[in-house]
Amino acid sequence: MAEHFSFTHAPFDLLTKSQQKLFLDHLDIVYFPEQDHFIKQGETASLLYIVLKGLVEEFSEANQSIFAHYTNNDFFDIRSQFGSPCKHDYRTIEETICHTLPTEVFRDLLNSNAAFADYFQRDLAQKYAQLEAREGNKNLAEFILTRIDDSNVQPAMVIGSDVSLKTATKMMLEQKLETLIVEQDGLYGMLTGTDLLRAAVLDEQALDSAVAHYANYRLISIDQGDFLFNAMLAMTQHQIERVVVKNGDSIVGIMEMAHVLSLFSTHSHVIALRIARAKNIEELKKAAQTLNNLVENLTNNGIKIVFIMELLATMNGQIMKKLFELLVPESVQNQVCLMVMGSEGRGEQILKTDQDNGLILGEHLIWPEQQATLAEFSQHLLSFGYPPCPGQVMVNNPFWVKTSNQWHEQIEQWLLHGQSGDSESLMQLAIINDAHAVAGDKTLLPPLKQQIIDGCKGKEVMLSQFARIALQFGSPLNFFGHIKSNDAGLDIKKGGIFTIVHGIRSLAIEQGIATTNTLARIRELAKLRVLEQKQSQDLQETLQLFFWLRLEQHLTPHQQGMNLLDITQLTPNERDLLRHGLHVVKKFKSFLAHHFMIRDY
Amino acid sequence: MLFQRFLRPFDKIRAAKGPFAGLFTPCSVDEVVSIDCETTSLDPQSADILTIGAVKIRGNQVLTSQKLSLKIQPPKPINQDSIPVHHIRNQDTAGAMSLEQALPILLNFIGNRPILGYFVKFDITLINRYTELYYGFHLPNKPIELCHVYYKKVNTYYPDAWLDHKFETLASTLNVPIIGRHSALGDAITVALMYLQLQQGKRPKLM
Repeated sequence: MAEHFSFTHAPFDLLTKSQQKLFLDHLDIVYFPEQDHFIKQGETASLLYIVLKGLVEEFSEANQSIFAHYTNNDFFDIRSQFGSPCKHDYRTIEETICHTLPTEVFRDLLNSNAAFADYFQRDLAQKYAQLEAREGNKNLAEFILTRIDDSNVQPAMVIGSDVSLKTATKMMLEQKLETLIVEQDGLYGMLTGTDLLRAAVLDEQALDSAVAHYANYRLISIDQGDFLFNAMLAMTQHQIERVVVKNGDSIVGIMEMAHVLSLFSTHSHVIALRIARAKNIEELKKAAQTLNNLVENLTNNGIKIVFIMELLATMNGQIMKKLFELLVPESVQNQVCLMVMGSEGRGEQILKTDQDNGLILGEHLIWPEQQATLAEFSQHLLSFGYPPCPGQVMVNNPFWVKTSNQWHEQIEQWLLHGQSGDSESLMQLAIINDAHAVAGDKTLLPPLKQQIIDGCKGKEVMLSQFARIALQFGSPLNFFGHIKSNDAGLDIKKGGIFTIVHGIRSLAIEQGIATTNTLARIRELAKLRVLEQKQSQDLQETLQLFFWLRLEQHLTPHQQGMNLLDITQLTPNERDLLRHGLHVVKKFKSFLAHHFMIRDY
Repeated sequence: MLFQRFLRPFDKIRAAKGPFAGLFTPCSVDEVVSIDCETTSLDPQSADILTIGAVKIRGNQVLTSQKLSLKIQPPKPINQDSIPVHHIRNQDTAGAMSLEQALPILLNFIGNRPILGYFVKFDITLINRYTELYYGFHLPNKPIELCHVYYKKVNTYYPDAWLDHKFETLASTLNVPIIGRHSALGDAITVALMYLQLQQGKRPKLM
């Protein structure tokens, strides 16, 4: 006869026949209606619950937080089986049927079956290890999230501009400083050892001449209290070794790359330096190829996805810029503008994604090798590991290389077609609206974007057509609010990311918001009161969660589809977060439909 | 048959001397026994019992740890038509007990608790045939028909609905997993779970 408990899944398949019989002889079934708070914190457990059907939530009534969800074949509460009182409360979310095994029997089984006991111990040990790892990683995460304060800033020595070269050198040696701050008429400059050498050796200045002339007055500064990470980012972006730390207007100290680097255990800056110092394409390629490892490192170390995306956007931008500078003749460089679009433009790619780029040409440009050079550019990016764009939004496609005036005409045309509901044109507008200038004359881009914003102003019908695109994919939730996915997995891009990104984009165009990053747009929209505070927080968190899930999926080796998420691979906790996120998306969709007056989507 | 019905009140007197006097006392515990039999045919007057599954329900618990699952040796070979339903072949009944041996175990298990079942009348009629034969009384226990409980709960809100009482439909409407369909114990457990759902859960939604 078929038994009423299936011993096929772990860890119960480890039990021997006689142990199975003992197990079955003591197994009961219990039924709980919806919202039944059946285990209270502090109770001593007498039963081990194995969910047969339904959904149970582990939560804490005291501080209103949710810890885990248990569904079919999950069991709880292991911790309290060994005598300690239950740490949390348990309640049913839906009607739930559980098998129950008396605690004594469970303990007997653990004592008599080493492998079975091992499973639970390992399970527990693993959980603790994960917890500990998380704590351990805090060091790194904490470091990046550390704010700049007196403890990590090197003090700055401020000298007058009339101090002589000799005195300055002496001070540096005595104070063991590498840099001095020179004050001249309220202006601050930085003086390094190299500057002194240049003055004394190359320019053969007298040793008693003033240092004023040799200090560098164009300082990049960062505010005290800002994240250490941002200091790092500033140095990477400007390719410099030091930043000045300011508190309001006064200088409080200097932050050096070498100092930061000694703390930073990931190699982001090393890569950045390699990119900056690459003298030829081969070197640049090598640097580009290490990017994925960097992302993996950062993720494994528990760095927040927002920081990873920001860092990666900077890195990718640098690579594009460097390649552009290596390939395009200098005379042409400042007459054209290279822009990246799509997720790259929004600064949201988490790994190297499709190359979405275009070029704006100056009006008086003469560049005979244009086509050949641009083709080469795309080819090199491909060899760096950036797959070609399926929609051919690339500089080797003449359609995406236009002069300023041609672009204006093109946008005019798209706006015109968009008004009659041509979704193709609307998508093109969406693409160009997310553009971000990375190299060349960056002033060429903003007029184009302004044209889109102006062109859409007050055109409610068109905006509604535009926003409708965000609603075209259904939310992967079934009638009961559970996650719906087919065998291949859940398409997180269609099911969530696209809807949020495009919906927010529509709102941003409507409100004339210029930033391209979706999270920044959400914050702007909240400021303008278009989105409610709570809604904006939910959306930001959800989007970050989706990005993180997507990244996690990309990094796992056995994975075929790019955007397909394997629900079964997620822990109950993650699954629950995902479910919550999808509900946020669903709500956001009805918000969009209401806001843009879209019917029957 | 009609005549026998008038004799039922005397069952208690007749059983008082026997070992089953307890059956006729009022039920003292808040428990119900869910019961299911697999048989050789669907006619309660001629069918032979092959297996009996029974399980107690207490509060919100199905006490599967105190289950009863009895294999019975039928007096004549199993009718070939029923084998595909219950999956019990003639050779499977080897070593099974006779009904005469099984009956006391079953009656002691049930005690004075109400008997729950899906089309419970069929099972009770079957058992009564044998208790009549061996002990001269019918089961005095209060029968609880799952379909009636279901009908009562649903019909109040959907008075005009045509209710499908198929076992599978019931289970899916009540959102209860089917445990070992067409094994006596499995069906008894499933019925017990459906009963608990009806007693304590929300009113089911008809699709």
